Amino acid sequence: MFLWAYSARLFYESKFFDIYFSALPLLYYLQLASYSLYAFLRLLGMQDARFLYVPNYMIEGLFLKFPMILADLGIFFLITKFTRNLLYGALFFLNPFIIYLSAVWGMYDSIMMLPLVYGLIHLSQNNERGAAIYFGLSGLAKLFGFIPFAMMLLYELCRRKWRPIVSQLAVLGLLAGVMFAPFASLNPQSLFVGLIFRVVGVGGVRFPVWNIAVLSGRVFFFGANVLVGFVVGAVLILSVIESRTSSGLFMPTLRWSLVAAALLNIFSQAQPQWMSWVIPLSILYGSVTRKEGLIFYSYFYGVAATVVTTLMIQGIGFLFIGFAPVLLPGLELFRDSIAVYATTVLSMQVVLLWRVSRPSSSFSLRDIFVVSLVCAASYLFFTLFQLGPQIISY
Amino acid sequence: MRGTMKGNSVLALAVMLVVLAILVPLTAGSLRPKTDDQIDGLKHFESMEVITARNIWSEDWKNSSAWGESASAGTITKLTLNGSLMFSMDFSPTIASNTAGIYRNISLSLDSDPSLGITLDVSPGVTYGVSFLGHFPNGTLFSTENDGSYLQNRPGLGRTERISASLGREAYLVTLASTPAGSTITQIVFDVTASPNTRGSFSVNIIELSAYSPQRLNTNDWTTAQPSIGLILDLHSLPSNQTLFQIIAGFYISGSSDLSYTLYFVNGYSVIAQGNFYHPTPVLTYQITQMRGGYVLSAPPFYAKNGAWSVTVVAQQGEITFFQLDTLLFRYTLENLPTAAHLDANLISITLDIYLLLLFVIPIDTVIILRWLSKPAA
Repeated sequence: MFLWAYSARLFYESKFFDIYFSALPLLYYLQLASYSLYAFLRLLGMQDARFLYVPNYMIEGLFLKFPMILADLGIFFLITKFTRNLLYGALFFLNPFIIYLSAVWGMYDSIMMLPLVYGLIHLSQNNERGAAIYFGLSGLAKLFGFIPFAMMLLYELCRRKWRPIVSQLAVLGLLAGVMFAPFASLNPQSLFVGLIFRVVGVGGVRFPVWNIAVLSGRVFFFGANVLVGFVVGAVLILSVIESRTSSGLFMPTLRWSLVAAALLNIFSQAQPQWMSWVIPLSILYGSVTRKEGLIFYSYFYGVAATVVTTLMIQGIGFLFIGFAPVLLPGLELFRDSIAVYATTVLSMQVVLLWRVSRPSSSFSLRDIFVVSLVCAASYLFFTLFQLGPQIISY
Repeated sequence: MRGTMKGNSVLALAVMLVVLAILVPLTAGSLRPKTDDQIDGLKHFESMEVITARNIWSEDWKNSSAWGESASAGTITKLTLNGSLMFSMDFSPTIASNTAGIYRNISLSLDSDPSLGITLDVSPGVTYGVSFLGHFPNGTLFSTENDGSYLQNRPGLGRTERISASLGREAYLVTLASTPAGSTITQIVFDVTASPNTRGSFSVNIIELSAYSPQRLNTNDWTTAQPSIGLILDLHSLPSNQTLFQIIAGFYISGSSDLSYTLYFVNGYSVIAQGNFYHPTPVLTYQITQMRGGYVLSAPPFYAKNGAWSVTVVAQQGEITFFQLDTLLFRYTLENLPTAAHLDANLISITLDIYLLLLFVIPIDTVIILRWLSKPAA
C-alpha cells in the first residue's frame, strides 16, 4: 500500500509522474483520480493521522482503496442483476477475502475482475464484440483478463471472422496506447523492462513464489514459469474445442476462465491475491449451471484464503498494526508456514476444480473437512514433525 | 423509469469525470507539507570501481588432516574428502540443541582485503553458520561469530548455494572498528545446529572454498566494458537526515550466460538496502531494479575504498562484461516513519477484536441471515 501512497504523493506534492509505478498504468490513473479528492480536502485544511505503525495515513489509505472498493461494489451489482439473487451478490461482496484484498490490503484484483464479469455478462447476451473489449480492458488492469480475450480471438479465428479480430485488436491497441503513452514518452526503456516485461514475466527478476513447486525447495523462477505457458495454452485449446459444439461462447469462456484461474494458483508463482479470481467466476458459473455447492464453496474458499494468507504469509497484525508481531503464537508465521500455506491452497484449488467438474450438487461440509484435514496434516508434517524440506519463498 | 435511472447514472458519472478532470491538474504538486522526495543519484555519482578477483587461496580437498571436527555428546560424525568435503552427522534427540562443526586453519592477511567464496549444500532441517578466528598484530585473538552476520543461522536448503563474504566486514561487525594493519584470519569454522529433539542424518557438502583479493580499476565514467565480478558506484553527499524508502537503478548490463546479480546500497560496511536477484533479460540488455530500504538479506563481498555511500553491483554467479549506468533515483520520506516499538497490549487486543469482527463475523453472519431469508418456506 505504501508504494501506492508514495507514487500518489510524488504526483500531488512534487508533480512527479511516477514512470516506475509498480503495477500496470490503469491502477495508477484510477488512484491519481481518487487521490485528487483527498488532496483537495487536505488543501481545504483537513488533517490526517497514522494508526499505530502503518506507514500511510488513515484517510489517505481510504482514498487509495476507493477504486478497488467501488469495483467490488460494481461486481456485486452485476452479479446480483445477472443471477437475480441478492444472496449470490452478497456471497461475493461479503466474502472476507474480497474485503481483505480491497479494503484492508489495497490490492487491485477487483479492478481487473469488474470488466471481466461485465464482459462475461455481455457474452451471455451474445454481444461478442462488447465482451472482447471488456476482456481487453480487464487484461490492461491485470494480465489474467487477456485469457478470455484470447479465447474470443481464437473462436473468431476458427470461424474465420477476420473483421472482428482486427477491430478487437485495434480497440485493444488503442486502449493500451492511451494508457501507456505517458510512460512511453517519458522513458520507453523503463516502460518495457520495468513494467511490461516484468509483468509478463521476462524482466529477468527472480520472483517470490508461493506455489506447490516451492515445496521441493529447489524450484525458482527467473521470470515466467514455463508451466504457465502450458496451462494457458491447454485452457485456450480446450475452450476452443468446447466452443465448436457449444450453442454459444458464454459457457466455454466462463468455464475455462474459471479453470485457468484455479490452475494458475497451482502452477504459476501464485501470489496470494490471485486466489480471488475464482470467486466471482465460480458464482457466475454456479448460478448458470445450478451448482449451488460451488457457489457456497467459493465463499468458504474466500474465508480459508483470508485465514491462510493472514496467518501463514503476512502475520495477522501486518496490515492493521503496520508490522507483524506474533499475536497468536503457534498459529501464525510458524516454522514452514509457507509449505503449509502452499499445500492448503493446492487442496482448495483441487476441491474447487472437482466442484466445477461435478454435476449440480448442494454444498457439503465435506469440502470444508477435506481442506481443513489437508491443512492440519501439512501442519503436522512440515511444522510439528519437520519431515519436509525447509521452505523459503524466494 | 428504468431509462431515467440509467440517464441519471450516466449524468452522475459525467459530473464525476468533470470534477476529477478539474481536480487532478488543480491539486497536482500543491500538497503541503512535502512528505516524500526523489533525488537524482546521477548528480551524486563520483566514480566507479570495477572489481576483478585475484585468487589468493583455494582448498584442493586433498589433505583431510587439515580439517578438524567437533560435535555435541551423542552425535556421530563422519568427515570425508573426495574432490569436495562431505561432513555427515547423526543427531539423536536431546532436550537442548545439537551441534556439530568442522574447522580448518588458514592464513589470510586482512591487509589484502580478502573475500571468501563458498559453494556448498546443507541438508534441510538444520541451520548452519560460517565464522572466522583471527588475531591482531598485538596477538589479541578475535572471532567473527556474530548473530548480526548473514553468515549465521542460515537454513539448510537441500540444494547447492553460493556464499561470498568480505572477511574485513566480518571482523568489523565484531570489533566495530577497522582492523589494524597486520591482522590475520587464521581459522574458518562451519557450525551446524539442530533444534531440540531433532533426530536423523544431516550433511554439509562443501564443493568449493576459495579466497580472493578484489582488484579495483577506477574510472570516472559510468560505463565499462571490463569483465568483472562486480562494480562499486561511489556516491557523494547523499542526504543522511531522511529515511530511505526506495532506490531505482536503470542500467545496461550484459555478461556470461550464467550471470545472476544483485544490487546493494551501502554506507561504509552498513548495508542499507538490497535489490532482488536478476538475470540479464533475454530480450534487452537494459534492466530496471529496485532496492528497498531495510530489505537486506545478505551483504556484498567487497566495499568502497573510501568507506562512503555506494551502490554495489555483485555478480552472484557468472561474470559482468558490460555495464552502463543510465538512471539512479533515491526516494526518501522526509518524515520519520513510525518504527515498531512498544505495543499497548489493550489497544492491540481491542483493535484485533474489531478487525476480526469487521472482516469475518459481520460478513459471515450477514450471509447466513441472507441465506436463511432466501430459503423457500417448507
